[in-house]
Amino acid sequence: MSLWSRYKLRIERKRRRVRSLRKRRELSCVVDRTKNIRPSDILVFSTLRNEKARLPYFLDYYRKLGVNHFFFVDNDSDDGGREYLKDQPDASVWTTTASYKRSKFGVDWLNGLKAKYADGHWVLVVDVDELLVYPFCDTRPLRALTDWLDSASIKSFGTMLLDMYPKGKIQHARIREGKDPVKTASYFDASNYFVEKNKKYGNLWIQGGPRLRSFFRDKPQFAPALNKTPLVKWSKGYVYVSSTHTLLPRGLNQVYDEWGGQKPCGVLLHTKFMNTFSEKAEEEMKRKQHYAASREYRMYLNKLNGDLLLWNEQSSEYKNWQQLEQLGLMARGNWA
Amino acid sequence: MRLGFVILAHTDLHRVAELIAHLSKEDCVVGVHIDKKVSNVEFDAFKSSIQSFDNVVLSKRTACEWGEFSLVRATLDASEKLLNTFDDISHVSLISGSCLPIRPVRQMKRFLKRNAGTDYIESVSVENNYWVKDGLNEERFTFYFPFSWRKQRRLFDALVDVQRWARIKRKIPEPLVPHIGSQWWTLTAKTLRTIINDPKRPYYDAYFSWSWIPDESYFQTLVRLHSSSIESRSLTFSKFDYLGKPFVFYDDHLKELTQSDCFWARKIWGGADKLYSSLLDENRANQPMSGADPKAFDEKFEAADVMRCEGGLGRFHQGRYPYDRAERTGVSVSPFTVFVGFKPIYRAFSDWVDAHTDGISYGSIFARTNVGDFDPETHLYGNLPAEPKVRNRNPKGYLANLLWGGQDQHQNLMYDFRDSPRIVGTLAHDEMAKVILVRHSWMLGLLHSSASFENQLSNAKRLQRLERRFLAEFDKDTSKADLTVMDLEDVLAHPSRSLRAAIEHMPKNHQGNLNVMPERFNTDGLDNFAKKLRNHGLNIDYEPLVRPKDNKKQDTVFEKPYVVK
Repeated sequence: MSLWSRYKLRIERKRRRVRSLRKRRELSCVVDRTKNIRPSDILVFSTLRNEKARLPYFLDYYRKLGVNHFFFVDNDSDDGGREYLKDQPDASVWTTTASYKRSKFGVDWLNGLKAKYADGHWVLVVDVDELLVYPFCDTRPLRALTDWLDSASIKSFGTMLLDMYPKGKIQHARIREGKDPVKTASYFDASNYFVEKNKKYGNLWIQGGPRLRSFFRDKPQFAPALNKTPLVKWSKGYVYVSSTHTLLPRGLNQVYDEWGGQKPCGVLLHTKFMNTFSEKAEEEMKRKQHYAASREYRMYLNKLNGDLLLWNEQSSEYKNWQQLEQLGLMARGNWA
Repeated sequence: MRLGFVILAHTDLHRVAELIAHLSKEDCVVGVHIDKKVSNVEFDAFKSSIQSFDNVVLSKRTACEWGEFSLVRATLDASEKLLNTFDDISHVSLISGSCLPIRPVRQMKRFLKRNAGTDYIESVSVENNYWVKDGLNEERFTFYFPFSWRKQRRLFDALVDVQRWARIKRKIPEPLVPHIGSQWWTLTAKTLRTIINDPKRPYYDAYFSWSWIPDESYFQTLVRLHSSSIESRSLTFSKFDYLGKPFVFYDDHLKELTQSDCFWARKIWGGADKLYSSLLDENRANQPMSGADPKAFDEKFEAADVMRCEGGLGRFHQGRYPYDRAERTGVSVSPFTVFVGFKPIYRAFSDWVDAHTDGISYGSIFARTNVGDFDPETHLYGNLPAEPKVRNRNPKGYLANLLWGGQDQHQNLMYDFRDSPRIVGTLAHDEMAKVILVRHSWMLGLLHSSASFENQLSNAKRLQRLERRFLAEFDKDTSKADLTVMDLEDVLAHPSRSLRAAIEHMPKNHQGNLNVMPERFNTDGLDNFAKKLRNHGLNIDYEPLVRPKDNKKQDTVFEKPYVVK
């Protein structure tokens, strides 16, 4: 990589950082418990809008993994989710009515908060419909992983977004408060993922899964990206570029082995495709606040008339992380 | 008889306190060295937590740096203090603050009682031995190492290079013979005393303080001077990965830990609550050595290194995306076959292969307008859509996804030069690929087309070019696939023989017993067609064979294609 392009990336990083500090001013604090944070704490950052039904299980799941503090940016929820989060003893909450789209789909807001609070912490940036699965996650808490990464001087941990879906139509798969959504949306595609390398940022670009085959069959190049790097040992100058797909400085994107081996990596179980997806689709089409002109929602409404079945005979039922490792969707690397 | 322990600790001091409490219950004495880098607040808290034990001594705190003499100094200080405070010690074990006993301490005591005079220390002569996993071996003893590897890496590396260039060779003090081994040992108090009280020790210390990683060589070398009975093994299990970093044990290792034939294990993750509570349980039963399988335990960790460095063949994910010029870039974990140029010769060749071998035939996966014979709406293994647009987006990834599903069987596909050329490079560079190609078979395809001769000619030029390119890809040095080229004339003249050769490497084929031959397209006029193409300037080395008479029998079989025995 030439000095000039490296310099350009540096400028881009600085620009995004400044932008995030500016965008941070759009947030107003609902509750600030950041003074309880200890230096070694693991932090979760998340933006959300009207996801109350998912919150109890989400908090429970990550607390059990050993997350110490949650940062939420609430984008104008009106379902009581904000009030619910306000009462959580380990959460700090901000709220805003500003445009989700114009904050780069929440990236700027979270970058701004991380710049202020996350320096030196292990940070996990996930949406409330994403559940992290990593090797040995049933027996080893998240801190075991971060300690190991620390001892190996690794600063970021890669995952693939694994779209989960129910056996029947998605509008019949209800999200129930406090219940594991993976129990309802427990199916996934086992071998339908395409990997390329993004030369500019050095990250992998993964596409595939049920969205590729249902919504983007004719234009696979537009299928959403599934590569994510949600777990990072944060340092002040870092920024996420788009969602959690790409980071700067670009060394953080190098979560994969290039010499014929494999590094430890995990999976984010993505439980978006449940009843709330169909309920949200119409609202989101009006708000027009989603990525790539809400193409996904548009396809869903126009083509499928809100009637979506992602399951078929070739779908696999989720069991545990060992199954995903066996299927070659994640790896333990040399973390024995 | 009492067992003494020297504990070196620099983190998770509450765990060290737990360990000390356990050892004191077991009537052991402990000398503890806490790294000077630990904050005073933490140290004071630790100190007060062990105040009630009268079997513990704390030694002078040194700031320890990995790889440097400070670690040996800390060990010597703590040992000296321990031996001076308690005079009824029989053995001293050096352990770290992140060690735990795999077997109860009383079992270790009994073991040491049975082997009273033996020193357990891994001590391997440096000459001709490669105990060191990654890095310097003999040079550890003959160069100077004034810089910290962790903090002054560049200076460290530069100085090593300079010394190599200058052929520096420090003199090793007489009568030392450099030995090397695991840092963690169990010595008899007698041996340890003689090492500590050796009148030449200041001289040795001065020498070792300039060498590299003396904690793996100081005691290992000196014990050879002073011990009468050495068993060159450590009683503490520790294993290093390919980068020289110790493997860490977690709760899920509990059952396996006793596979090791050691008494202690390093290193335990500080948060492994279950390991701490069960291994420090005073009622823990003895773990008989007969149940140990140290080799299996070792292999488990060696397998992790292999996973890291060579694992995941055939799959690409967030932890794996090999460079084009790296090893193991292939799309399949198991061998697969590509039949190139069989389609114009035989009707339904794929079905025939399916019937005669034990494997999966996919057909022409890379045909221009379709994926095999699948309807574009169907989904293959793992929900891979049989949609050409999806396939064309990333042919290599597509093939990898497809082949993953049938990896337990021998898979095969068809390829023709009319198909998408973008997969050729992938096939040529795959060490699992077996490619069987019939040269010039595209002529048969043209022969049956109804197009004008001009059209046929231009197509012939194109197909020949594609065939050359295909073969050139396999000619490259980087090509790893196994290519077998058959000539069309041979395949036509000796159908049984060539078909047998084509599937001979596949499992469960009907050797010498091809009951049904695939139906062959009409080859009338091929010889003339080839001649005509040649006369129009195409360089085709197709020479129709004169059929030898004794081969006639085979061909009768062929001319009646569906003869079942």
